[in-house]
Amino acid sequence: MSTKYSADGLSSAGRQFLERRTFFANAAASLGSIALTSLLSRDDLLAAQTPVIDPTRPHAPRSPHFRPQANNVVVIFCAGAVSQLETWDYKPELIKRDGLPLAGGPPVTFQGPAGNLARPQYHFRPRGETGKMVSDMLPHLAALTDELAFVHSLTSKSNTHGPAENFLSTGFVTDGFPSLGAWVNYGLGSENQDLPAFVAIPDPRGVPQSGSNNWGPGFLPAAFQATVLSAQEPVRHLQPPGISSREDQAARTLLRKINESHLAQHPGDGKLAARIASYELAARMQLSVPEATDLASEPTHILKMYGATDESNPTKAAFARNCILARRLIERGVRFVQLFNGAYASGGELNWDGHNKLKEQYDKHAAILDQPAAALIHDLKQRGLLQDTLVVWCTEFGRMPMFQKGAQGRDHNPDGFTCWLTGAGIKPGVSHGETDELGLKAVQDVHSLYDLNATILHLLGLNHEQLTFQHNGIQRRLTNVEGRVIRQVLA
Amino acid sequence: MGTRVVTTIGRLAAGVAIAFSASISFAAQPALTEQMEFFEQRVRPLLVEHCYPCHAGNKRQGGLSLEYRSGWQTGGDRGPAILADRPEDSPLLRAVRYQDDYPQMPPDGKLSAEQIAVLEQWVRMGAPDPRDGEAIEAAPGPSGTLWVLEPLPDVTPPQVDNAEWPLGDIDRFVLARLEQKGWQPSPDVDRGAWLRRVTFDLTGLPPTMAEVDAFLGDASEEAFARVVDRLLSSREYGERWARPWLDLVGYADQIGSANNVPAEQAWRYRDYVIRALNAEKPFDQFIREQLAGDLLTSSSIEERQDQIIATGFLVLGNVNIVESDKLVMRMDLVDHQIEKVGKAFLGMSLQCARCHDHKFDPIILQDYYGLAGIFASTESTRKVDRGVWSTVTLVTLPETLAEFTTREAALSAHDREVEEIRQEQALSARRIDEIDRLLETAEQGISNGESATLANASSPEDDRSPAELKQERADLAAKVAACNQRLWHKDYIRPSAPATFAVKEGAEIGNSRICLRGNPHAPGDVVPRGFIRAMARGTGPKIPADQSGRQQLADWLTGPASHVVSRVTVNRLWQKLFGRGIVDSVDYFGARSEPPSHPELLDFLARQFISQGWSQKQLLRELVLSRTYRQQSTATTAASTMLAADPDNRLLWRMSPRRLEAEMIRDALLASSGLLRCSAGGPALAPEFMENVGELDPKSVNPISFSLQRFRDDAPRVRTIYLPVVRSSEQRGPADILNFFDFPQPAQYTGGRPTTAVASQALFLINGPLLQQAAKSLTETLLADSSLEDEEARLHALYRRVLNRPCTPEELSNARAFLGASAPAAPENGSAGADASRHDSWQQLAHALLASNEFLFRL
Repeated sequence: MSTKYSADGLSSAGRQFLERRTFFANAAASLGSIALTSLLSRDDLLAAQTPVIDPTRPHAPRSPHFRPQANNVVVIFCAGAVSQLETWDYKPELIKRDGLPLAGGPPVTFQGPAGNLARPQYHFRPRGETGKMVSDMLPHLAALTDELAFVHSLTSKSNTHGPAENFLSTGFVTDGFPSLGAWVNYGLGSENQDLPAFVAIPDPRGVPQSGSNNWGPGFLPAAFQATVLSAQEPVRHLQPPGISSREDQAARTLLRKINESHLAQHPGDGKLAARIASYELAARMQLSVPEATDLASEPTHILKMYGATDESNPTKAAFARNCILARRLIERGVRFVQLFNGAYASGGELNWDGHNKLKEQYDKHAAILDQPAAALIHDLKQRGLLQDTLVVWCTEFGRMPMFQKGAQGRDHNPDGFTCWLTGAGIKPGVSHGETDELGLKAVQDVHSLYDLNATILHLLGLNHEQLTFQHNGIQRRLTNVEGRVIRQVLA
Repeated sequence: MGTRVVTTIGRLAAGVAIAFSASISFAAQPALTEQMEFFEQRVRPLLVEHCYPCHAGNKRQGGLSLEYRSGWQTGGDRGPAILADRPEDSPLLRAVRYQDDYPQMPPDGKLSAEQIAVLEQWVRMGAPDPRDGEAIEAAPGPSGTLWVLEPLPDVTPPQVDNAEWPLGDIDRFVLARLEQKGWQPSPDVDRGAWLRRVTFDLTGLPPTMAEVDAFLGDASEEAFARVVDRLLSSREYGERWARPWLDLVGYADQIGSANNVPAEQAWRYRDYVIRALNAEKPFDQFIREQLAGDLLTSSSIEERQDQIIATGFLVLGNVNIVESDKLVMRMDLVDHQIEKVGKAFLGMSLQCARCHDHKFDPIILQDYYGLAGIFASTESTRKVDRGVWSTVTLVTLPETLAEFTTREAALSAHDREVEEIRQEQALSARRIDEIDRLLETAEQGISNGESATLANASSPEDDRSPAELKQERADLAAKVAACNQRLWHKDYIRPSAPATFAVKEGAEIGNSRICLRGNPHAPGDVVPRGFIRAMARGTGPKIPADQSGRQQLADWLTGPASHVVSRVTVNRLWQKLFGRGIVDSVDYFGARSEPPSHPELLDFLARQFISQGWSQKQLLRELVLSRTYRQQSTATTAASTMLAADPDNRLLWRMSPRRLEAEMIRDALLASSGLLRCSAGGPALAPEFMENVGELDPKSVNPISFSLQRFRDDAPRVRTIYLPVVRSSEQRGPADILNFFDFPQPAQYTGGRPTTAVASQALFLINGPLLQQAAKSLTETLLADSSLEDEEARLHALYRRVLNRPCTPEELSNARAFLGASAPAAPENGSAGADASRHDSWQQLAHALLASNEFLFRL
């Protein structure tokens, strides 16, 4: 990206600002002009940093702010709030104090009164060369421990699923803001013009609590939202219902003729031309999407590796097919894939919201997530795709070290939980940040989810403070006015 | 990469530059003490790098400047930043130490221990600081220079060279700008295209064939005005123009986005807006009712109903009702209300000032909290018994006698149905008791060694086995439970006195405290309730101590601030007709907006809008009858200079072509294919179908939820504005089209919609069921119409229904070629197979026309 700035590249507000600030340049000669550049960029007034969108090709590839470490992203989003205590955040003190009350702890949590401390419901053991303690709940993923970079000290701004999902996906608790994938799509476009740049793959059991907010465009142009598809649900309206392809072709040719002669009567109209271009993309998608989503060409050993042939567990097999689909999309140059594991609030039946029968429900959910997700990482690696692909495993918040009173499960805890990253640009085997001895609150190197999002953008070569969009006079960004890159997990 | 490096160097250089110029002034002083050296070498660089970005120049976050000694001496919202007598308690130190509940500074990361130690040492020294001077004024004050704050001048329409062209004053303004450039307006559009344009613009629907014929048959100049008057007095006018207002309100038939909580009364507000527009309610009254209708006097029951319903404006947006921290929840709602009022009426983003003075616009923290006090003194939500949930306040409406009579009749029918369910339930319960007795007897019999059948038990007619009886008992128990569900459902939909989502005066009325950094748990100073100081001269109406101030806010908006409100309103209406506003950013008129394209015209129209009694119809009438509006949208070769120089048509040298909005596309598809049915409005969600309602159990910790399993039979055929709008998922069923054609997310409050052209729209048009249905219905109508004697007549009819014009000879021959090629053996009266084939060809032709750009655009 060019660093040469001229007044021509400025918005009118930037120009006014420039005039007000000329005393700087006069006072300190050439140094002053650099200082001015800095001040301007800090005020986000430089048009040069804002992606320029061609309406006829909104997904055309665009340059990042600096050299990226990753070109693509897979976000594995575990909806319902996975307990850090059952998985990645080993707390021997909690095992010791199993069944004891937490003196000074919160008497009431999100859903009701707190009960006593409860030990992790799975056994922990050292893994790989790092020897990091990880539980037996997700054995396939645990075997990858050496490859992962953990952040154990994340915090969220909400302890309610919907708003917290919004916060993780959009940087705001309220509805209406662009999702991470939409920001990336806006910033970078895509290398493949025949497939959507951003794909959201919902869990086979349903969509997460805040639904399309997780992949919506907010106030960005609608072109940047995700296309929703999965191995179970194809792209909407992709195929014509009940007419032959010959008829379809004839009608389409007719439509093109009608539109072209109309355009000829209205020369130079970009909007009409853009619509014709959108028909052409649709036609290309009708060929490329079925090819990308057709798993029939996958060999048996690959299907088996993911668990896609597991007839005893249809939900796992379905999620496994979504994982294979994610890999196929990355292989074909899709920029951002958001892969959901877990659906909406359902008393913990359909997602990770283990309030009442945590162990019983997590046994089921773990069997669905573990093998397919681990196979995805392994498969990306063996194909050399992990060099350019960042994989992020995340969840909207964590869970309490106490069980809820009268229940065998844990309540919501936004004050300390774990996510991990692996692949392009990530230093493997890192464990960064800590919660207290019981896993109640993050205490060391605390990071809000803003920081996780800033880090993801950074790996893609985007400065989270400079990827902005002017909306009603406010220069909006994914991280609002916060966000620090978590440098400790970077390679 | 380069950018980052430059930024870092730049930041250091800024420090150097300032340090350098300051040290020059220093050299003049006799002695540079050690303390001053300490400041220059250790403290100043730290302040410049970490504090100046938000506390120097025109930035004074929290009211604090650290650029000069006087800045920290005077201090900000928390008083002086450094306390000479109690250095350890200095706000500056507490902030950088990230101590207790103080704002943590700098917010993007704590300083190193060493840096904090430097500041501590400096403060303990008594904060020696050589920086004389006064911080510059932060935001423009009440006399700010922002153009929209200036009163409306009395503008005289300019003189023009081409006196023949203008039909009215608007045209003189437009033409004068064009003539300045040496440009000419485009020729008038042909009358048929003008009719299609104005009919879509005013009613959201295409003209009927009869309307086209009538207009083309009347060559007089008055024909234009007659059409406009007809359209403005149609019911469809309100149905079309209500929708942009609902965009601004963030309207949906769902409260918040969690758990699908129905906003089952929201439709009353939607219907109110349609009524208000059709009745030509003056816009100032429209504002007053929406902010403070409950506080106004009324002369009829209907008027009273409307006044209360109108306040739904404040609570039908993006309202969160499931936050367990009720203080945060309440302040977030107040924030939304301030945002909405700012955007809808003032064209300003006020919500920035929740945390700090606005960076560019003359909105200060005190303005925000002055408004916050008004809304915090208003009841918008209340806690309910279910879990952590609250609900939007429901207010019972007065009822007319006719409504009461209808309801009484419905109620007795309802009560009969309830009684039937009760009896059904009681019957099942009695039978369960019977079976229990039989089973008991049988068990006793078995234990006495008798046969396992019941033939010889107390009920000789029942010879079933205990297993069979147990099955029947289980079925009956399920029936009893189902009856409970049905009874709860009946209770939910019981015809009761009408109620609506609305606001009322709060139980506690008073001024708000500033929430430091927007956090309601960090209260600062109390701010008296009031309005935006820079927006109007004078102080505005006084707010009595026992009133929220909503009524005074409405009076202020329609009085002292009316110059802003009318400019914003006129501009939004203009935008809907001409494609862009005179101010392009229709919701934002602040310092960072682009300057208006025709500032004098905007002022002229805004002034006239007020003097003509805030009449939207009057304004629209004048706009669509202008010569400017009558220009063709096609850029002729003669216009190539203008197209090249002004591709966005800012100077209005032609009419801007526009793709129809999502609702118009669907409504036009239904109208063209003869499927459209009119609706009188009413509830959107169809709660009468039990499958649409969940969490009925009164003991549930979650509120009643809805789903859209079943739509009413007429839903696929009514205008789109009457379909339910949901927040938590895509729009469902017949409203599917909204997911594809730029319908705004209801979480936003927006006065403008983007127009995108993306592949999913193309797929929707080619393969979606809506187009299939419309094409099928249209084909059936055309092929069944015996008045169309031949194919040519039928093709003309097709084009007239879809594109509101007959087809050209070239189109005729193309269409014939298509029909011939795709159905080669299809005679006019052939076999069943040939008929089906002919039908298919016609349907594809109709489909192609319905998906064409010409249909989708209003030119």
